[in-house]
Amino acid sequence: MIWANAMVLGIGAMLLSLPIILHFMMQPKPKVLSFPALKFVRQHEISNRSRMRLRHLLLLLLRCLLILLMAAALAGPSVASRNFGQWLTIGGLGCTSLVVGLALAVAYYGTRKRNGLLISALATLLLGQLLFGGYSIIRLISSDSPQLIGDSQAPVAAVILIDTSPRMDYQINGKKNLEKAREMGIWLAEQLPSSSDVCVLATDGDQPFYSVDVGAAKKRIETLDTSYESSFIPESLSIGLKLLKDSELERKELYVITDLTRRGWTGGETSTVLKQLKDNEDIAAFVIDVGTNEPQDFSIGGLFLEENTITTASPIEINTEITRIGDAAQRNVVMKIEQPDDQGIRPAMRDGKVLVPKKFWQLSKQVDIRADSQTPVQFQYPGPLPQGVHHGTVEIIGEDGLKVDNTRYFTVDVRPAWDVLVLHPDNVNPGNLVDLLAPYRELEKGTAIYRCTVAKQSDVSKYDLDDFQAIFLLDPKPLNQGLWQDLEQYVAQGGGLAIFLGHNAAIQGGVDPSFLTTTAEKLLTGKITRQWRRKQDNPLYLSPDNFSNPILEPFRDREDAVPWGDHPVLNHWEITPDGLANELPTETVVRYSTGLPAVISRTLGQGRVLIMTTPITDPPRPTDRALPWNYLFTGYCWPAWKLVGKISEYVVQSSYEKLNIDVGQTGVLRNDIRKYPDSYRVFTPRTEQSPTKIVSIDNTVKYRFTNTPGQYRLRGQRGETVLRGFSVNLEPAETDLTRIDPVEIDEVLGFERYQLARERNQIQRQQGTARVGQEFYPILLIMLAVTLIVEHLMSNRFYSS
Amino acid sequence: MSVEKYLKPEVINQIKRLDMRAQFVVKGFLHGLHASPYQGFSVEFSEHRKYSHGDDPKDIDWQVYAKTNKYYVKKFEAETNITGYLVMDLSQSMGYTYRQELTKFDYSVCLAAALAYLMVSQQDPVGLITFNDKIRESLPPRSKRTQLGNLISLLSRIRPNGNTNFSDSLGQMAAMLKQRSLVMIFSDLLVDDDSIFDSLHRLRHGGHDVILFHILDEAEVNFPFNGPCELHDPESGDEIKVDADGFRKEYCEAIEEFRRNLAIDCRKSGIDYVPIDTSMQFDTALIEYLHSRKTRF
Repeated sequence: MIWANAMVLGIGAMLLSLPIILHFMMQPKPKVLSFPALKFVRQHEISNRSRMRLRHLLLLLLRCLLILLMAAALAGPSVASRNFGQWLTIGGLGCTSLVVGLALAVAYYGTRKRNGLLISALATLLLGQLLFGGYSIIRLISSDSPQLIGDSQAPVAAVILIDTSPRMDYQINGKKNLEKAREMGIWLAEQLPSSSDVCVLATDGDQPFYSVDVGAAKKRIETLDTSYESSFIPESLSIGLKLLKDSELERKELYVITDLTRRGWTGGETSTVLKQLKDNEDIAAFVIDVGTNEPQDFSIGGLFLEENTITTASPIEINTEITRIGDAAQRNVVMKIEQPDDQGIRPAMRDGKVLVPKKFWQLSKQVDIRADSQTPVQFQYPGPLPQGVHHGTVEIIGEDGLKVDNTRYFTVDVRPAWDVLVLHPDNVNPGNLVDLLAPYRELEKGTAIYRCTVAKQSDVSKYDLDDFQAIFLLDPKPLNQGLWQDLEQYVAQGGGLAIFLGHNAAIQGGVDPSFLTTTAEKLLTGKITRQWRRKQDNPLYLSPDNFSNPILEPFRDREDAVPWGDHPVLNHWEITPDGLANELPTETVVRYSTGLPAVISRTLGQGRVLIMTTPITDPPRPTDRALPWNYLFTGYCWPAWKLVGKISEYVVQSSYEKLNIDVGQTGVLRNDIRKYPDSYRVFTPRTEQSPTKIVSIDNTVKYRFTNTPGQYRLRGQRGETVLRGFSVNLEPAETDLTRIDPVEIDEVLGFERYQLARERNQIQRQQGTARVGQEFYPILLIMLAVTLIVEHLMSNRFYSS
Repeated sequence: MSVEKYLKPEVINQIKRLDMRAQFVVKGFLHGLHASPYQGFSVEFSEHRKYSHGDDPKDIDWQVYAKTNKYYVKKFEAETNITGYLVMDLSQSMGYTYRQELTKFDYSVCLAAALAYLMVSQQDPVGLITFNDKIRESLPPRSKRTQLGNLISLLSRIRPNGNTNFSDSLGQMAAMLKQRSLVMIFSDLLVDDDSIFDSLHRLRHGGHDVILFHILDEAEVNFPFNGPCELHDPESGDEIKVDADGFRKEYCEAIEEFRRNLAIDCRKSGIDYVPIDTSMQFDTALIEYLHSRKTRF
């Protein structure tokens, strides 16, 4: 607690003696009256005298209280806002103690018959109140923080955090929320006392710093723009709070100007902010809302393409959903696919602007959307599309508050089918795999994405392995050393190899020595040590435990619902890791229920090897053995189909290329320099931005500056122009305008740890409260008035003539 | 104080008017009007009663007979004459007045004079006894017109003085009175002993009718003081400091209780208790008196 004019308190203390002196010196002399009926007076003389004394004492107390209140009010006490409630409680406790004390005095002196029980109860209550009040005051004083209050013009260390998320582009009546935030930020900067340290912080991840002066801070606010790579507010807050903590100025203020959308507040380390604010109680926090209570917005959700890579005859199928926040409405949704530039010129830079193809194939749909709901939309473009990379968009046509989420971008690569070589011994039927990779119906339509060449293992020498993107070895018999070496070289140069080990690798209860050579072990990720058989009472089946690998993507959302147990494994090989995992990235993708590896992947050079320790080709009833090694393809065997399908994609590395990514992610394209250019020029969606050059490294091109949604076009030259590219989209959640509940802000900043405001006058008032503290002046004036009235009434009553 | 003051015309007039009203009511009754509220108390006759064997036929009221077809005889004044004693408390406390107009004693004298006039007018013998710690003056009862002059002369002469010994004085008086009388006592009864009723009971046992005019100053009833006061008892000389404002309610309750207890005790003893304060008009007191007498005759 601080006092604006502490001197007045001393004067008040001196003046306090005045009513006491007057009370004793100026007591009115009683009127002398003759009165014969004195015997009736005598009956109540004692109680009357006690009451008279009590009343005089009460009046004296009231008059002392009057002077005390007057002095206190003029002295201008104020406390830190967060302690105001506690001081008020103590004040209330003091008042009730006074009342209880008076009641006790009246009960003791003022009545003829003393009620012992009442007096005891009042005395106990008074004692309790005094003890509690004393304890509260000691606690409050001991915990009083050094927050500077009282001087509203002392310099301030202020961090003005402005939310620059894409949601701040929401506009109503032609004004964006970001514009409102800028105006508010500039106004706030102007309100700060001169020589204050001001840091303007945005949620775009820039490093924080104090501006040279308030003018520079205002300039920085003026130049702020929305960022598609916006961080969460708690993350930026944490940075701002650290800056404030390190400031040497005693007064510290934090302003967060935001539209109060939930998305911005519900990520990042909220507990860190909570702790920082708790540990630094001298920081006054303000949250300023520039958002709209009831936003109206259409948005397109994420685009789900069946395949990023398709063949020329394949249709493009896109599923998405239209989300409406606000009233029911109708909109046209259009899917556009760019037609390649006939002259092969675009994309190109002309007159400082990037030119892109102008012609489209397009589909349109009218969508009725109910209020605050989502409506699924599906587009299917039947094709055929020419080979090459194709960019497209899905757009909502019409006016909207937030435009950035009205368009989503996509890219598909139309290419010939993947050539794969399927090698199998005589006693193995490759039908399962071939049916999976190139179904007959798709082969007929020309939409199959794999073109399988099936060959016997013994005929492998007839083929040039480099003609294939992947080789599948189904339950291989012993391979000669030369073939192992060829396969190693093939993989190292970027080929994909999948080996499904089975009974053909066994010899007299052990493993054939040809699988134990150094080269074989390198490809097999280790040494085949033994063959495991299922025990009677110990079920054995595939049991994935880590779903992070893309091979297990289909099972990610239904981890417990996949019926692996319905497809038991009876035999499998155990591979002991060769210890090369540090040099050659190796990962156990799927394990058995016993914990032993079932599917192991390894990156070798530019290519990939995938080993499965049980075959995918054993029929349920083999002719040459009593039992098969597994029942993976028995009955309703969708898990095995999905697994093998994903293994195929993995080895041909079709999923390696990231054609559709989110803002901030790195665009990665395979770039075999034997077929593709070794460098490209990248045209970003910023049409005014000149193209930048990127080079291929390790048969890969990467572009990481994907901070704007749109299409990123790569133009290279290898004999003729090569056009490639990818699309970048804003994560749908980034444009969710759902407002946050203040209770959720409490979870980030702490309950009553911040002030929430919308209007400038609210901020001014709260600023004043934070800087000057909460003043007791109005309360003291009210108490003074009440005391004055009570004193007046009592003195009139006691001394009426 | 002049004798005329005790016989103020308005007082006399009021009494006369009351008397006239009483006569009128009686005559009205005789004419078949409504019943008289003051039946049995008039100058010429007191009441009608049914004729019975042995009554003189000349007393039959033929006018009533004409109206009711029943025989009624008149009871005449001679049958209602009673000896009255006006007993005045002369103690120092009776000389108290708050508004400096009529003291309790002055008020009592006015009242006594009016009653004496009334009684003499009815040809009732009336006497006067004054007392404080003992009987000081006494005037034997007479019904002659000159008695009124003697009585008023004595009343104008006496002054309140000294302490009261109510019980001794009334005991002494009870011994003095030989014949059944109407004893009208004027006192503020501000005495410390509780033996007031012993002496009053002796009077009642002597066959006397007693009317107790309990006269208090209006300040003694209402306690109109404010602020701190030092109250001084003129009789005992005692002093008490009180806060008048905070005390008023309790005092008023105490005096009310005192009066109420007196009224209860009087009713039990067959004594007419008339509480009066000096702010009340005389006619109020006299009407109270006539009311109480009505039940007696």
